[in-house]
Amino acid sequence: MDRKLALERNILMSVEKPARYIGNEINMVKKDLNDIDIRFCMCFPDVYEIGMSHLGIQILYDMFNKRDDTYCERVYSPWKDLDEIMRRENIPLFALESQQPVKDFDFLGITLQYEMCYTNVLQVLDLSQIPLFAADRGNDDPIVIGGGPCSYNPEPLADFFDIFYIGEGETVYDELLDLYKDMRNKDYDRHEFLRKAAMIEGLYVPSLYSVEYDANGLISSFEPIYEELPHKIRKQAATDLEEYYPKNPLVPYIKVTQDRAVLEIMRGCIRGCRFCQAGMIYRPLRERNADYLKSLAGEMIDSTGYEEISLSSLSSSDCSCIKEMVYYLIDEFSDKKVNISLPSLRIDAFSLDVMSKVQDIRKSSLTFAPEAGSQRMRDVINKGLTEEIILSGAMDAFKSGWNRVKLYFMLGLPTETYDDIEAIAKLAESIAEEYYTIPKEERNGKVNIVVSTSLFVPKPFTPFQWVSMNKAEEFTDKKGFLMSKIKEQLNQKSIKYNCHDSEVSVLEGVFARGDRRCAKVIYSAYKKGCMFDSWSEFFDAGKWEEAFLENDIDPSFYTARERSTGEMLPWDFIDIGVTKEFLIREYENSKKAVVTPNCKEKCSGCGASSYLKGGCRF
Amino acid sequence: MKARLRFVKLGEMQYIGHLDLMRYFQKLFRRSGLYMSYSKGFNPHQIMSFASPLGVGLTSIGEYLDISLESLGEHTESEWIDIINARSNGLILVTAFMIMPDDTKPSMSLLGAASYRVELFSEDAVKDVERFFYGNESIVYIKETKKSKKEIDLRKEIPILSADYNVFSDEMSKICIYDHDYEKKYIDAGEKGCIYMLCRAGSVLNIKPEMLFDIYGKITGYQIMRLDMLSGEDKYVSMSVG
Repeated sequence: MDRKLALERNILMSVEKPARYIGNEINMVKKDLNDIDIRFCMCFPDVYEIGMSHLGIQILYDMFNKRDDTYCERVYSPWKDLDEIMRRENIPLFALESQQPVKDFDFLGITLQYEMCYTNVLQVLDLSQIPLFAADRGNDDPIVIGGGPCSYNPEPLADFFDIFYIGEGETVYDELLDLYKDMRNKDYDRHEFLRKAAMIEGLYVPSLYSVEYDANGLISSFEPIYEELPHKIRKQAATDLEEYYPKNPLVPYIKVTQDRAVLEIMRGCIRGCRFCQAGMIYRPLRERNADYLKSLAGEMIDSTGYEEISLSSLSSSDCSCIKEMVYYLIDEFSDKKVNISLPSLRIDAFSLDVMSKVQDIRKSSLTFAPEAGSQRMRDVINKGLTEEIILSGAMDAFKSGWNRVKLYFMLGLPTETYDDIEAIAKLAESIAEEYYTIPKEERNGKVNIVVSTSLFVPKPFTPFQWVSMNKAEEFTDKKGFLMSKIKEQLNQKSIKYNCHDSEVSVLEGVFARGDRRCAKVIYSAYKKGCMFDSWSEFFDAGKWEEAFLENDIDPSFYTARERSTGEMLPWDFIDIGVTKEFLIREYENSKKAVVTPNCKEKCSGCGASSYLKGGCRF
Repeated sequence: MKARLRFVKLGEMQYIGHLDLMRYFQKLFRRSGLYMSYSKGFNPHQIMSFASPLGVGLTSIGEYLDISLESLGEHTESEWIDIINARSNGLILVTAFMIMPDDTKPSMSLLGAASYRVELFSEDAVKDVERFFYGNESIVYIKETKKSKKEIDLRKEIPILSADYNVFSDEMSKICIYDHDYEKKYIDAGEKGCIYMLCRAGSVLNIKPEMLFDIYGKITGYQIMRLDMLSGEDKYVSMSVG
């Protein structure tokens, strides 16, 4: 297949990293378009290096391309330099594989991984020359589908999408593609297709639901416009994780964020941290079988040539096969010079042993995520980690030779007081002091502690979905306060402090729990030039402020307002298996700082076991 | 065991930079199962070095890569070529696999000249460039670095320049030993609108075809292909010839 690139040489030579736009990576799927009924373009609305690092797209790419009648291609957000050229020269956005315009595809699937990519969704639609609003699209425009974690509250984007796929892609995509193929061959009508698609479990067609608001601006009704449509959309969860896994993942030419083979060992999490959306929406816990994983690991390294493999999950230490897998990989791959990376591993004797084998201790740092400084605060968020565990873990690590520690915390957690914030500084100090109890001759230089705080953003489908989020000024005060407290510590010179931007977090908070009325703000901000909002060099708080003002929308209605548990929430029409009763129970427990045991200790009856025949098994 | 590979970098691979190309080869060799030697230390890496990095925007049929091998294992050199190319992308292909004596110097240090084809996409432009080059006793290019300014006479540093491939290869034969037949697989001798040149190269003084066009001006959007790299000073031998 002799491909002609969509962009002329002079354009490619004038942009940064032209390899972002040429495709033809190792393991790229090539198909003859004459044999294809359905063209599906999969999009990650951020720059290539970020999008190529995403496992979900690799899984769906592999899955779609297993169908003989479907060709799945990819597109990412053109970087600002190319974006300007494409607008100026009216070049339609193209897919990397065939280099042909996205607007000629049957489907455009966009993964929504974080709220700050919403303006980039509009960028991709706009550059593709697809009408931004779903209502303006005709029979010849692609069906635009959203998916990924942000689609658990799709409402702020409802006007821009034809369909949202709620849940894991492994289950009903075939059904949707079969329906499309069947209808496309006859007298195709977009509206009729969407109406039928909305009958498939897990698919939400926003244009077929109408929302009404009361005098206070709260949602008063949310109803389908046709009788036959479901009132609740049931999240999709794969019950058999052994069915699909990409054995031949794409290997980019340029260095991307996740520049390694990724092996997903488990989906879901037993921990139930109350701030964590992933911990709720990916329930129930499903583990992959160790033998299956071992054969996958070998095949992936053979097909990609990667020099590193990463075991991925929300909390790898909880995976029952983790020890077996890790020691297997070390044995199997050390001769082949394949590194093993283990994110999300709790610090304990096992992980220290493993890390001393796979990393250079002098160069690596250890990461703890206590999330909160005081025990009371950690109990509120159900982070089952005590100060003793942290200090003894740190001490074990120091004795093994590490002297660099990273600590992750959140500011603005519900019920937080200034004492809780000060406790962050004190915890960092205690770790430093622990280090200096080691005799000088056994120490490896000075200790180096990095404290990072993110700003707490309440997310849908968590026990904190009703709470008030801090305003930007409060965050700024708290950051300043924490900085001053760190400066008061004895070992303050060993402690470095990093923090997130307040304005970005507040915006994230608006869209995380926003409703359909937020769409016009996103549209206005995009028209003002907002794009790549997750990149600090491009984020423009002033333009966003104007966009809210012009549309007469008060961000604090969505962020700072404490909601009652009786309020109809914009995402209430989605059924994730985890029940609202469970979330309310957990919300109440948090107010009393009562800890809930993890799923392996005791079932708390969250409801997610309904996805598994015979329930969760531990 | 030392080996020198010649490879081509065609078409859209011109947009892949040198460091990315190096990473590409590391993965390609892993996929191929080549018995690469690794450096010692906590982060071992494959031992490899290129004769000369190729800039973004240039294609090539004559790139050279030195590697260290533990052994050839169960395959011959030509079998390895097939194994590697079957796992590559069709645009980066190994075209020679030569086992070298252990005391061979790195290609990088041997480099003395490189030959190029420059597509100008216009016969008139080609004539103008030829006239400009031969019509001047000296063509001075000023190379500025952070520390110094250096004057380079391109008339002296580009020993051969012609718009006619046959003339070029005749001139080449007088001072170079290289593989004509290999080159002719990729070059259409009758193609119009191209300039062929031999430029002195090396770590001290590296002449690039772009230098000539920088001075001449007027021409943009040309496409350069490196044809070969050679060792020597006044007489040259292709790196593909032992």
